[in-house]
Amino acid sequence: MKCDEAVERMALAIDGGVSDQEWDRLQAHIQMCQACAQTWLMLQQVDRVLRTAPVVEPPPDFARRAARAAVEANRRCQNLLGGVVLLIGSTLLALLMAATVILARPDFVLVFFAPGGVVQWQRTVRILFEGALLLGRMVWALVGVWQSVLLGPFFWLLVAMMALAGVAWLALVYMAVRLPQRQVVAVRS
Amino acid sequence: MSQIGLAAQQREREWVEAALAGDEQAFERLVEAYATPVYNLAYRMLGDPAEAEDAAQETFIRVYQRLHTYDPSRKFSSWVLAIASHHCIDRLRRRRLQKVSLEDLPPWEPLVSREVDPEERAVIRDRNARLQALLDRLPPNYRLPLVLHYWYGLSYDEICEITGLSLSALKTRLHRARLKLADLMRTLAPDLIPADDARTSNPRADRARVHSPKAEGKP
Repeated sequence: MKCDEAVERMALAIDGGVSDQEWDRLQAHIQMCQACAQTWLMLQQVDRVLRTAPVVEPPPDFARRAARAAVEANRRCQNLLGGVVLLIGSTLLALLMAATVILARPDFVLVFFAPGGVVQWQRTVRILFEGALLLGRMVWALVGVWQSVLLGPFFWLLVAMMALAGVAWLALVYMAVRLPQRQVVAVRS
Repeated sequence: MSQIGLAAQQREREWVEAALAGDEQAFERLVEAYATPVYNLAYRMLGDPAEAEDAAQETFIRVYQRLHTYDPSRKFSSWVLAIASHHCIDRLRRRRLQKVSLEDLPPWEPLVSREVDPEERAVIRDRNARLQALLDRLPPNYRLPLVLHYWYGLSYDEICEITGLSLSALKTRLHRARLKLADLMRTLAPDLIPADDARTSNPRADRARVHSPKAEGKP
């Protein structure tokens, strides 16, 4: 056995990774080679020191504090995510509602720019946004309550119900905006 | 694997499932089981108790946030230790970028098991601090395999999984880390060297003892 091979074997032998035959060959080399004997001794010394080194323990209440910090951090992260989802969702819903209004009242631009029209429509737009925000909050609260359901089989049922509620809501908006127009038409005729 | 080991793994799996379903107490139990292994790893890697506590806490925050990505076919302990290892390496990298030398860090006050008597504890603490000072002088990519091998009794395959190293790279690093540490010990702390160290039999026979986990999770 040459020194290079002996050092290679030592690296495995220290963890018990050589056969008895290889071990005997290594020992035979070590007895003949002073440099390798020195390396083997150093490896054994460091191995023993590391094997007997203690495990360092954390402060007594560390586990409780760490668990609480993790749960809190996760909650903060979810709240932030919820806020972003709520904002984007509400804006999209309000835009959808506005589109519904424009669809229901094609004369929207004429009415908007008529005397007093701006004030009236500002109120309408505010109601739309507030409505969208309210709907968004309701959805988010429901998601919060049914968080565990999100990963379960009822998730898509919930989504379908939400979609239906959204369509119903938009239909209501459409009808509510359409109604005054009909009345105006009726009075005119 | 022993019956106790299997039972512990099964219990861990139940805790993970319960934590995923929103049971915060189940997560607390997981943290209790892994507080010492994670803290010890952080301390051995970073060499400072306060920073180790910070790093261990951050590890558990990451564990909780990524719990849904845990693959139950893997060992939970390996998954947690991988998160802790990567976080410690990140911290060491940032420390290098900030050019903070190890000498600038506060002195150690490592907590050794409270079961031993105060005098013995002081001796252990002193030896431990000096060993840690030597470990801190090793490059982090040499230190991590050494810590995972000696303090956690992990197999080469498990260490490869955690560190992302190839088997041959791991063997090389472990070997070089041992030689470098031996060299440091001889020049800086010769009194740490044990007096009786002549080994005449193949350690293959007591390999199980070499691999017995010291800081493995104890749920």
